[in-house]
Amino acid sequence: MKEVSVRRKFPVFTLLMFIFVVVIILASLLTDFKKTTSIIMPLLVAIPGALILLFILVSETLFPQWLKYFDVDVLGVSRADEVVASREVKRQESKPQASSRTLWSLVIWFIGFSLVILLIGFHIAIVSGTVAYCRLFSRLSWKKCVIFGVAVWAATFLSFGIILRLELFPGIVFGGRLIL
Amino acid sequence: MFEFSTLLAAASETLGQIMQPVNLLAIVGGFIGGLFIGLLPALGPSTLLVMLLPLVFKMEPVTAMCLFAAVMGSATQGGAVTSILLGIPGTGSNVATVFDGYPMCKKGQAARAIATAQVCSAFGGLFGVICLVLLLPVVVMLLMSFAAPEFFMLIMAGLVCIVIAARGNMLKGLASAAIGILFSFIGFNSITADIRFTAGILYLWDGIELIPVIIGIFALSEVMMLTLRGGTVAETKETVKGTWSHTLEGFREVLKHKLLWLRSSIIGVIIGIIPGIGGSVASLLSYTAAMQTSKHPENFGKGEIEGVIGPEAANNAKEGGAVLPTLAFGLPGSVEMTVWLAAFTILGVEVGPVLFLQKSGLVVAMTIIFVLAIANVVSSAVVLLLSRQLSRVAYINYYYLVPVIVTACLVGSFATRSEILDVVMAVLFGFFGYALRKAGFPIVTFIIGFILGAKAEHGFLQALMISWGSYSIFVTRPISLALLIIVIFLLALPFIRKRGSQKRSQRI
Repeated sequence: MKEVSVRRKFPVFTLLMFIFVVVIILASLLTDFKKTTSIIMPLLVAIPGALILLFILVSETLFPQWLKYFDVDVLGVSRADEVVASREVKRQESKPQASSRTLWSLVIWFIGFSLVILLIGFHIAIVSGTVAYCRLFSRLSWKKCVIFGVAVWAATFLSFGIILRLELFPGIVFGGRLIL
Repeated sequence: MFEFSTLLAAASETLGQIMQPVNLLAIVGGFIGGLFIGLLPALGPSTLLVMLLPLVFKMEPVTAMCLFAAVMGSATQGGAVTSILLGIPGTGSNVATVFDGYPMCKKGQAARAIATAQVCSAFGGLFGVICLVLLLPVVVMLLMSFAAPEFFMLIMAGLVCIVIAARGNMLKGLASAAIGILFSFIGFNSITADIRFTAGILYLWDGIELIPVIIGIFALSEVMMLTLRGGTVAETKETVKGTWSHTLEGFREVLKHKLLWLRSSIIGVIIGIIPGIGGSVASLLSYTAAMQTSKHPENFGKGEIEGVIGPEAANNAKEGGAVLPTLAFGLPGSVEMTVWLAAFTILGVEVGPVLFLQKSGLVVAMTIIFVLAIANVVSSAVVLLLSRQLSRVAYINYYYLVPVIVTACLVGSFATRSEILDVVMAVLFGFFGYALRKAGFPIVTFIIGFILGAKAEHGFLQALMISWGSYSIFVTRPISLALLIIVIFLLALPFIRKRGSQKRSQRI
């Protein structure tokens, strides 16, 4: 079976986490806090955290067998897990694997949906976001997509807007405030 | 002093509160929602609890607990139906039920398997609740001797326990917990009055809000996985032939295998008490135990009724056990309990010994106990009657569910404090959660680290204040020292076991 990029491990992600932890260490050491006790716990957590992440990073890129030594199964359920996994594989084999295109479509949809909420508010965003999702990921017709989008908006407005009396964000364009 | 009579007084008040219309409505709503989500493979009760989390803001603690406990009590019952009829576990807790439940269905014994599963689940759930009632006073007595150093060490022990109990890579678990703890340090520190790691962003001054993080990590990352998989989970319908005699036979099977049921329920309660272990482990362990003690181990996997009794008794008994560490120590016993812990934070209910010293706290605890018991029994009865109709839920296409879940989650993250940046934060944590899952870092340790990080720091700094800055306080107090030894032992345990098994295999 063709291996797709989605299934590959991400040393890049481990690297990003390592950078985050290093930034916390540097910020703890370089920032002038009112009390020194403010940095004790961050350093106590971040320094071992950075060392662990560095080890994972090196292992993932160069020596994968190092990391395997730390695979734990204290309760001894890995054998049963293997049975589950083998069944799962059988079930998944009949299904088409997600392509990297689907993954990127999903990422773009999520970003687009949040941006539309920010700019023009929940009311329009819910309808347009749902329609966009249906068109991108299912084979529903435009008509069905629009009906479904309006239904999702109506359900949301009924539960949050009317029952919970929440004023949904109107969007920056329509006067919504954004405080950074 | 905490006495059993106090518990009984709180119990009678709780019953009165549960009977109020709004609470009954919450129970019915939670019950229907729990059954529905249980029937949807790949979407566990944690997703529904996360979606309900923003609603908790507008609720009284008792109402919120009615809703949550009803979801928890009914979800695994729904999951058993799809496990048996479709061969797909509705929730992680039903994973082992598939092994023998589905072959039984193929043999035309679906009604018998479902009846057995439901009777086991109902009694298993009740057993878990009884254990919770009996153990609670004992644990609370123990907790009374805890102060800041002990609480700090307890959180550390809990975190390490979660890391090693979660199968997978221990280092990744520790790293994930560390990242979670570090995220919890962002913003204002109430003890030192310092604002930390905000990069000058005003939004971060109050720290990262819990709800967007939980919504992103649990729900949004889950729907991302779901979209990438796509379609419906159930594709072919099995022919289900069942009669009332089969159903009655199911009842008789449980009576016939009462020792197996009891053993599996005890396994469930113990697994529930250990922080961070999910229902799938309880289910798999009790299945293995059932197989090892059975007179017919060769029949397992081919439709053996004992293979249904074991996991179904354990997965429901687990719920009662999982509530115990959550209420008593603030250490979640399962993924779902992590969401409960977030709900307690939102509601201003302080878990730990304080909870049991106030009458209102005791009422909250008793509500959970009662509603869990009620939901277990009622949902078993409903599933017995409507199993075939209910299994149709599994045929819903996920493309319809995802926009609904995402919309509810994003509006929910906004609803908690009408802050639009919480929506952005939820999406960012959704991507982060997805990346964590894909890279093999456990999300449970991250979220528990995030929830407990600030509490751990609070305990640590308070302990230092008590000791005038001396770190020896953590080793001079007996309970604190004992907990420290437990932390070290837990960290060494996987390697001790590994060495042991290596030696054994060398001998063979």
